[in-house]
Amino acid sequence: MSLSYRIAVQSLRMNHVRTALTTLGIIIGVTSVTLVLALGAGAENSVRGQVNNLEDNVILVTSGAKPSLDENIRHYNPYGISATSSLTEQDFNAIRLSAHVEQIAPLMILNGSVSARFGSSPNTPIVATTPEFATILGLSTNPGQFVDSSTTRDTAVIGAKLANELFGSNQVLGQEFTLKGRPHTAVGALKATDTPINLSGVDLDHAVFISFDDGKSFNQGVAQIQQMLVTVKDPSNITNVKGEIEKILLANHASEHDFTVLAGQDIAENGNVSFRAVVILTTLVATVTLVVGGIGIMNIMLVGVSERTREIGIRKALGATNGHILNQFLIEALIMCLTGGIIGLAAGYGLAFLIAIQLSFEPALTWQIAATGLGMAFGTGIIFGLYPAIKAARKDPIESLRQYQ
Amino acid sequence: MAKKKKVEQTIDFPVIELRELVKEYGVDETRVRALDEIDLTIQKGEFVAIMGPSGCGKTTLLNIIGLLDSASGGQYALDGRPVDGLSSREQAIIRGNRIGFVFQSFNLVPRLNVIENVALPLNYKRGFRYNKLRKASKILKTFDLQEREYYMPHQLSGGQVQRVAIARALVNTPSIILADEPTGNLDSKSSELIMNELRDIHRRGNTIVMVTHNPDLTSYASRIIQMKDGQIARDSATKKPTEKKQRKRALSSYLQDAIEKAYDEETV
Repeated sequence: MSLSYRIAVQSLRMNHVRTALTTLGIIIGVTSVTLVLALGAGAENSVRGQVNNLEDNVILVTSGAKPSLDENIRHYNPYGISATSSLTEQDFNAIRLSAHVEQIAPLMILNGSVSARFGSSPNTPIVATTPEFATILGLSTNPGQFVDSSTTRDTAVIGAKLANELFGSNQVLGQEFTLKGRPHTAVGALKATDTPINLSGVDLDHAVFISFDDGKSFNQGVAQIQQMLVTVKDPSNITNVKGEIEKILLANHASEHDFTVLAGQDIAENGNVSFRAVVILTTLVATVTLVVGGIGIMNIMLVGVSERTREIGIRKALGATNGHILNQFLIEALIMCLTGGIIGLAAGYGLAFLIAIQLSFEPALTWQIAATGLGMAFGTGIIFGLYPAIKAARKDPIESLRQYQ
Repeated sequence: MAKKKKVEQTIDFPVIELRELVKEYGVDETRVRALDEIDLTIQKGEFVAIMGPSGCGKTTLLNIIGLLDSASGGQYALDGRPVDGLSSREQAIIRGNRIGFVFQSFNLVPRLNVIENVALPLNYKRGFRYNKLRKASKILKTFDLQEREYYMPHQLSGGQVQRVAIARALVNTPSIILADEPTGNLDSKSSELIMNELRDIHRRGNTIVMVTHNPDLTSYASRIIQMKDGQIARDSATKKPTEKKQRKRALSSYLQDAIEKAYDEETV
């Protein structure tokens, strides 16, 4: 083994330009695979992180059945909201009355333009909800307060970034602005959340929050609840409560399963399905790069085998078995691939961190990604190195000796 | 019975025994017999020169003796052990342990230096690298090549390359050294040097089989075999045509007699 390794290194050094160029193919392949996986897992982690930030007693009820991966790609809906909602105020009240439910917040998400004296924002998510929303998600305001029973109907709380866009700062108290054509007064600004992708598909930093009654008044006094956030009293009982909620809703909806109830990690999963599909597709494309690199390896190995036919003949005459010859060439391919893999891994991570400067999340540094990158490089070496190595090993010694260089 | 036979073999110690060895190429009508029922016994310590015009089958014979090629028929025993039906892996191990090769040219692996080339046959065996290189170095010393140990093959003269090749053939103390036109690419002065080298290692007790078409080289050998059309035409060890040849000659003279007789009868 150590001998075959030495022989392989020697022959790779002899053609160092050729070796470097061939290895470059693998480097590029592994770099792109690592880059995609590191950024993809990083983004996913940041979404998971938000869910983990929630108490592990949160249940999310959304309107509509859970879409399949394919549906999610074909009918991509960035906010995850259907036009009409199947959840009603009646459902909300029924769940609220359950003995196991601690708090419940309805989310009625409207879109509309918001305009103030200095700035305006078209198509802004407007969330009509109750004070429980802030409590469940652990949101705080500065300055001011969240919408609650004491605030009147024409008041609103503004997300941190939107506050800056509309008023130039977070000093929004008492500022007047128009929301969906109706004058409103700001009673508070939300503190900036450090979570880029949001639980309910709404960017909290860029949304306006109004009272639930106010929301209903935009919809002829009828509630259109897209989502409900529920907390349970006993977190260990969360699966049972989830079942209970499903039962209540089924009873209310005449057994039509037009809603989804999610608990724990599944909440992040739901918003992630289409995102993950993008990651999988990009990884596939990156893998194609690696395959191209592998073809380069195979090509150069075949050249090497025919160049060294005479040497193969001599070695066989001097006692090398087919196995020895196979090892020699296979190890050569593996050295190129693993070297390329290590360099590619480093380059991929370097690039990922460089790109992440522009993003709001960190690339994921996990041994699984490193193992995948190196494993794919190793696999490429075996798959594309095997055929030339077998070809070399099967060469007839007499034919090989007859070939003069 | 079998035991007794083995004892007999160790007494006269034939390194190579060929019985009715046949090598054929091609199929059916295009079939060519390269070797036609060769019977040959080479004893330990002989220096055999195989002569003959090109195409007479001498290189094919050498390849079969060296286990680089396999015969189509007949028996071959190396060191008293039959080698028919061995796997290619077993053949490779025998090549590595008991046979040393010297080829006509391009003997050395160009990427490896002299000492690594000499150690090449040892590379396919167990052992420490240091010991292997020391062994190679020792052999090179007996050829006065110790100062060339770290030269690359392209930095050596043709004669030096061939001497390195001979050193390499000896490094694993083989039963037999096979040389295919060892002076084929050398000038007469280098040729003489190489032949003296071969004669020296023969005198030290090594068995050598050399294929050549140069009659001048036969003076170094202890036994000369002339080949023609895949058969042994003359063997200096027996000093007379082989049995088969005799049989053929007898047959042809009988036929000639018969034809002459028929002619005579017709004319009468």
